[in-house]
Amino acid sequence: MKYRLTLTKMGLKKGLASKYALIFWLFSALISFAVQYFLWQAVLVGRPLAEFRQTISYLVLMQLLTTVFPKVSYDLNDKVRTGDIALDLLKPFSVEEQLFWEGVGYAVAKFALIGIVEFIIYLWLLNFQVSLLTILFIIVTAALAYVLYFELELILGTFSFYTYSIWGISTFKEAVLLILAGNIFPANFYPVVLKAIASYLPFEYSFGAVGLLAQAPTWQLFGQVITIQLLYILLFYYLSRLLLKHSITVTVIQGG
Amino acid sequence: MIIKTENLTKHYQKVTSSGLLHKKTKTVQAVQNVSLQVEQGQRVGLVGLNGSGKSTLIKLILGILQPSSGNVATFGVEPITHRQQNARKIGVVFGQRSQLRWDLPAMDTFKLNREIYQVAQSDFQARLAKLTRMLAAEDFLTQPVRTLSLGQRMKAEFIAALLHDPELLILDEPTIGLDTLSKNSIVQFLKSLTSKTIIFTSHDLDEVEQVCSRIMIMNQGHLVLDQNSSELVKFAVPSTITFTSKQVSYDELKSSWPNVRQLVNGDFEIAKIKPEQVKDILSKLTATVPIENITVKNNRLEYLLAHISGGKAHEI
Repeated sequence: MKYRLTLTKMGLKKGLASKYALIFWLFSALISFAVQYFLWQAVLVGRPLAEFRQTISYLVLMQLLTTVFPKVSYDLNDKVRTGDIALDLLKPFSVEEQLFWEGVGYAVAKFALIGIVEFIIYLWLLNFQVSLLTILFIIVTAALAYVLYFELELILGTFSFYTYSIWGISTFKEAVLLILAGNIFPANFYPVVLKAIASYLPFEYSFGAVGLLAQAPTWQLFGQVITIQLLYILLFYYLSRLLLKHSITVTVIQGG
Repeated sequence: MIIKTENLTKHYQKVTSSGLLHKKTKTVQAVQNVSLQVEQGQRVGLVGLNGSGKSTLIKLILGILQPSSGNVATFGVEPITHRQQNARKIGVVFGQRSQLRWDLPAMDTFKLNREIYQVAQSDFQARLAKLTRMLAAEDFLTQPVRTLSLGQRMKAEFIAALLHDPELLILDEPTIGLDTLSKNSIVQFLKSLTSKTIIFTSHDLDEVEQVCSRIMIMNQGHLVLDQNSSELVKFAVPSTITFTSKQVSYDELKSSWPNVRQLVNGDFEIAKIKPEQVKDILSKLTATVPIENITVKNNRLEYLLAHISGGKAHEI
């Protein structure tokens, strides 16, 4: 267990080592927030102020999740391309475990430098009128959403074993997330059919479901969201391990 | 026995050209029917030219590549399914890869390895102090890896690979790209590791001979030679002397040195000199010709590859 903590600490240190990059990331996030603020103000003109605040706070929460969530597919792609995966495979622990715990540390660094500002903006948009129960719901579902997203990224990363660059596949993932995850566009505004489809797919449970729960924090919705999240985590956990095991078996490490 | 392979073969498809709709591939025979055994405590040098299959063989032994056919056992077990179990007994240094985190000090990786391999704190401190002293690495282990020279980084890689006191040390071209001083310091360090089973791959035969008592030579995927280094060193390999002299012409030299030839850059070369003649020729050359620069080379590996048959080196 202690080795996981050490990996997490290393991820945290890596994040803090690139603190200037993260600070520029924060500025980008703030600019993006300003654009969204004025855009949605124009879209929702004439509607109640509460609706605008709900929408924009939802989008800030989604931006926070996008910031903190891991980009494991790129890490794995980099390791396969350079051949450094060989050294990870020669550790007495699985590659996915190493990626996960180091990623958690890096996510903590990102939260400390960027996420916390975004979270304060989120609270400010809601006049700091957020109950402790809502915050608890957000924390639990966001943590599970993180794990679910990690598994999705890991599956995506296994394509690195078959193609030189996963850039194209990753762009496709971004497009799917754009439509089905609700991290750019609130799910409430979806057409009914798309909303129904999205509610059965895993993408919404990595992003949108956390935001929807923050807007309507009931025990029933909380139970529904975490049940689906856990089911998808379980499914993707086994799927990603199966794919990774198969990919490693067929791979040829670069350079001999 | 630490390693045993029987008719181990690995081939894979390599893309030779690709367009929008077509892709041409060819089968590369990386390792072909290699059978070998390595006993505990042996120091084995695995030598070959680039692309000879040394690194692929190492990866098959480590269980990170799947053989196409044949058998391999590392520590008596099949290495792919037992990779994590074997990893506790193996230390690895790949010259072109790094287990150190680029933006963190090497010390952080050492601490991580202490946890991963569950090394007791007292053992960790003792080994770290010993390895740091042996490699003269005291000054740079707390600096971010990105600020280290290649020589310093390789020393840190060695410490990271040895902190868990592995039984088997696998070194895949660990001195590649290093300057002569750093190379010598690594070679001296390896010579001092007397209790370990070592597999040391390189394309520099002289360097491997300083460390290993047994030499294996690979060529085009085949294990073409497996011999004691004491036997191999007796094998007489001709040398080549290359020198620069701007004060004499080729025709003048040719009259007293009939074997000399001029290279495209204007230097001169005398090739195929028998070992017992090198000293005399050097003395005579330096006494009679005004020389600005001189080097003596013997491409032992290439020469041996041309004169190996039946797994032994033979002089023709």
